Amino acid sequence: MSEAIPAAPSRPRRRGRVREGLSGLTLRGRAFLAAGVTAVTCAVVLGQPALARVGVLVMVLPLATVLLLVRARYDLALVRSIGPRVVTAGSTATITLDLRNEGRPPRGVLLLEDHLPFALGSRPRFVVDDVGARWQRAVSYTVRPEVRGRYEIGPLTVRVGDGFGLVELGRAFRTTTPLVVTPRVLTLPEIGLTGAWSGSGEHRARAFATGSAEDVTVREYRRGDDLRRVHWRSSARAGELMVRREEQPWQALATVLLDDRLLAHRGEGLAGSFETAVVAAASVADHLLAHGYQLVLRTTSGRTAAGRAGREDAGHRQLLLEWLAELAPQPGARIAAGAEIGERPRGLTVAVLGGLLPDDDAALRWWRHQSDSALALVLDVEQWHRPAPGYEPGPGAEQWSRRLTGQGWRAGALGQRDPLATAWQRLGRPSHVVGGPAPEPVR
Amino acid sequence: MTANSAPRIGLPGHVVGALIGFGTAWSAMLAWRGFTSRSELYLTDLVAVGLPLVLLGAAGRAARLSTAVVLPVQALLAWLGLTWQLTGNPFAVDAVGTTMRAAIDASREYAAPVPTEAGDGVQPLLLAGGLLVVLLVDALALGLRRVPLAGLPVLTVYSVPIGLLGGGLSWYVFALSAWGFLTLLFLQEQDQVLRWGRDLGPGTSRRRLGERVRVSSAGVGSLAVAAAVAAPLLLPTLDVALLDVGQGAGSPERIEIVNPIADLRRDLTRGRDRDLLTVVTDDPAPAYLRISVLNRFTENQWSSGDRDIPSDQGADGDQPAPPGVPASLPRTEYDYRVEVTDRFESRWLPTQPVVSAVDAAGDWRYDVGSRDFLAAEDDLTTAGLDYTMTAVTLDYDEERLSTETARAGGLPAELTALPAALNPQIARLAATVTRDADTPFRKAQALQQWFRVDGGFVYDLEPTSPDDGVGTDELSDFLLSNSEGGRRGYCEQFAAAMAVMARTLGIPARVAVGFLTPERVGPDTYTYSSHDLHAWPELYFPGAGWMRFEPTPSSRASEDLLPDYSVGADPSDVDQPEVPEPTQVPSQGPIDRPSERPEPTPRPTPAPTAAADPDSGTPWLVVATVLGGTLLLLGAALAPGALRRRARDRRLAGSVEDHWSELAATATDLGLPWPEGRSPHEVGRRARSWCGEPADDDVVAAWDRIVAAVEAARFADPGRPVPATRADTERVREAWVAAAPRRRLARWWPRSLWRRPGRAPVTAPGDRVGASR
Repeated sequence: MSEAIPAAPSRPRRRGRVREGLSGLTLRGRAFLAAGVTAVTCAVVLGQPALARVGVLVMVLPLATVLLLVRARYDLALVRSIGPRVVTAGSTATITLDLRNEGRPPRGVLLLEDHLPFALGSRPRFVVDDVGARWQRAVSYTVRPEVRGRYEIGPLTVRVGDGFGLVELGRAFRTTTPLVVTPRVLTLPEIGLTGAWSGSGEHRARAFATGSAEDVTVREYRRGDDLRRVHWRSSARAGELMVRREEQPWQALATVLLDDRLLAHRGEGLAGSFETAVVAAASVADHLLAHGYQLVLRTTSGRTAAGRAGREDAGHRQLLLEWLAELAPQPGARIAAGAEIGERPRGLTVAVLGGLLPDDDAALRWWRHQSDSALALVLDVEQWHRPAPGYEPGPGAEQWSRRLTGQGWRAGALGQRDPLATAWQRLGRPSHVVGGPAPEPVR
Repeated sequence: MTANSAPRIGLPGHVVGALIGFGTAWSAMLAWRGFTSRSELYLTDLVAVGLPLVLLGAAGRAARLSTAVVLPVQALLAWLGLTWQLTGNPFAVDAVGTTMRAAIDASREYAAPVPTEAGDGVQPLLLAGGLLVVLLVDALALGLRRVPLAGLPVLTVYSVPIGLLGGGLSWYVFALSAWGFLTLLFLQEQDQVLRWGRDLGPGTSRRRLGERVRVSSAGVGSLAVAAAVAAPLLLPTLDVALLDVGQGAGSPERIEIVNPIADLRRDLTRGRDRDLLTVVTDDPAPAYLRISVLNRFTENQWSSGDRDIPSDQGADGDQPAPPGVPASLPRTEYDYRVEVTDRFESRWLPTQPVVSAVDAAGDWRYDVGSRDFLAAEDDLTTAGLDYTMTAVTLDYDEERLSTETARAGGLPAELTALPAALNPQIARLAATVTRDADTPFRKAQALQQWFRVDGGFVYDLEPTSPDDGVGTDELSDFLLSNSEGGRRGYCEQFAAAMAVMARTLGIPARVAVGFLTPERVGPDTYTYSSHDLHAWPELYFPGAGWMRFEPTPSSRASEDLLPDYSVGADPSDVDQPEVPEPTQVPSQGPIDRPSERPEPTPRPTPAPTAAADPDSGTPWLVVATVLGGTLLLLGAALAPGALRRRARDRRLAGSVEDHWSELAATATDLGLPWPEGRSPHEVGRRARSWCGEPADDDVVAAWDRIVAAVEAARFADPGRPVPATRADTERVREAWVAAAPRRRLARWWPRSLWRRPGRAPVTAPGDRVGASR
């Protein structure tokens, strides 16, 4: 919903309006005017009244049109609404324009054009030619963004034209409405997430197994709670009734680490490896949230999305996705680790990595060390660009994933054409943990 | 995404567009009617060939064929149609060439309008041109969608006659083609706009713009066309000839003047109007440039007589005083510079009748008596000559002349001699005509009046007999017979007849040959052409010398060319309205056809001349301007009131809201502070005091009923009936008008037409944009 911003410039003086109208003459209008003046001058000088007629015709036409258009004091009001305000890439959003004329009828044709970022496709255009004094109309159009991001819809420009194409007065509304496009989220198959229990067939994270939270097992009394569950000691301390939690609080912590270093990625825009990484991170985050993890979303450059939240919190998922929507690759070569990370990661770590550098070895080792369990998807970024002759790629994703496996990660490579679900599935295979081939030395 | 549901035009739309395009081109072709004597021929042919042409184009465009495909097919069809129209066989290519060559020859040979009796005339050219224009307009405006470019062929068609026929185009031809052009422009723009974006109008997919836009476009178009049609009346024209085009040198047709009187007739009746010489002078109204005088009248003809040109009578330098003119006579001198074109070969030097100095290259000599200049060298002619002279305009003492009874003496007998064979009836006729005049000068005036007005003479270039002439017999026929051929002739006969009759009255007379009036082509610049050749009598009076008279009727020599002195004092004569003599248009055949138009084209009256000579203005133009201006003012004064009344009637016929806005408009008209944007209740409270002091209870009650009705209409359930308020509205309105101080102004200048009542700011949510707030 677009908030209302009445554009209320003070009424321009008449001369100013006529001047504005004259400056709004189109090329055709200007040509007509010039030809008319020339013809009239020639007719007067040469004494050819018949020629004067032609000149007066083409001279009067644009001038009369200008006067007609600038005299009409229409007053359009616009309310733009977008539904939904946040969409996933590839799905559609409907934008509704509520137009209302609160002034007199305009004398010309109104050509409305809503400005859209290029990623949202061509600009929607509307022709309004029968606006009355109390005219009101709602019109909607849909956009189908393919690229995640935050887009400003608008402003709507209004051009007033005439029936002969001689004058075009441009005006513009000023409000824009944001549209957030979150990355696509792919459904990932169930795999054993915690390394220790990977073979147990139990996929649900257990709080007491991995959590280290305090025993905060009381909560405020809510209507309907059984009085037998009142925790009197806590109630005395808190000054209000507290009850024991019936269910055992369990806590599964997870961190998704997204490689957002510019030099770790190849390709640009939708075709770049970064987009794939974002989609993978979003899918993993979604998967983990759905499995009850409290999630921290981090990037290798040290940015953190938001605090933890439980699985019920749909708003948190949305926040994470919106954060991912606006994420852009950062300069910088290092993977943040150690003291740079304010709160040390615990529990499960899932890293979505781009092209790795030899220096990343230590940081990744640190991350593995901090996590109870660590999974890594290494993008084979060289697939995302066509290397120039003489380009020497570093160690490939396969090499790196073997090396990470050697560090204790469960790592797998993700190529440009590999389905994410397959790659994810492979991470769940125990063969990555045990019995894998010996890691090759990495240069 | 953007649903560009651009409506396709469809076949009907294409056909309408094509028809309008054709109509535009066709109506522009109406401007060429003046080229031929039978304009309906090429116009109907154009419809017969052009209409299928544009319909084919419309069909092609409806089938989404490219112009590159449609245009060649159209061109082929145009060619076949042209061939078929011209020769009856669409494939007779050779015959077309012949016809075209004949048409081109005809266009060279004849002046417009070209007759069609001897063949097709210029019809093939007109038809071919018309088809080309139809094709161009169709392709540019509808095929390539460049309507402004399509204006160019139309403009060309329109301007060709301006150059060749000398203007005089009908206003409705212009208005028709202008309307067509504007309609094409609108159609194209409409199409473009509807293609531009999705239509937000009531229909989902319309092919036309809304009524408001159409009406306002039509209004702008009408205004522009009306202004354009009126433009020539309002715009001053300076009439400067920047380039003297069209007079190509080296034209084979030359005008030779060896024997003036014999050549005069031929030049007048044959050939096109050719510019012969250009005069630059400070004389505000140059006319009567004399070539030669004819002194001798024999039985067969007027001739130059003998000239005595000894070598000491060279033309160059100051001239002796004109014979018979007293030195005391007031006079005005004007400088002339004459440039003769190569095609005017005359052995006589054209000069004004009275000159005080001449400076011309070559051995030109003057005769003491006749004061015309004759080439003394054998091969000396005026062709290409460039010379100067100082002309003298004498200010005659008319009163003295009128009372002078003395007869002229001391002149060669040749100037009063009459052949013995002259029909004595001519002398009696002269005596009868002049019986009321007592002095020779008055007799001369009476003669002129008789020739021009009373005698029933008709100016007619058509020869009455094959061996035309102005011998005694022909004169008798001309003057005496009332049968066919009598009193019908051209300038030479008039001049000769008047000179002869003057001689019978004892007044020395001779015939002068020269040019009548030039056409003004620039400041102080005038051009004499072959059709300006003329003959007039000169009569001799003691104390004045040779004086010019003008017996030729006004259809040739208009009233303002008459010398002031030659018109008698009789007021009825002076005020005699100019009655154009009905002149038969001869139509025997192309060869005998005089291309001289009976009615000389009205020449643009330049402002300085008009100031110097108040009579020369065209009064009808002034009358039309005044009349038009008055009508315009009247319309401007009445229009606001009429518009307001229409708006009132419309609103009164409408709903309660319309009545409410009518009352608001009335308040605005009357200058009452109608609070816009307030509730009906609030308005009702404030406006209650407007109903007059003391307020009429009925009116107040009616007002309250209206307020209640508006409230009901706005706020009550939609289903509930709203009381009728028309009678109440009218009553309240009348009460307001009666009570308001500025009701008269409100009636003539209703402000509600231009402004809305003062609007309170509307605090509606939303971003907004407007022409002005």
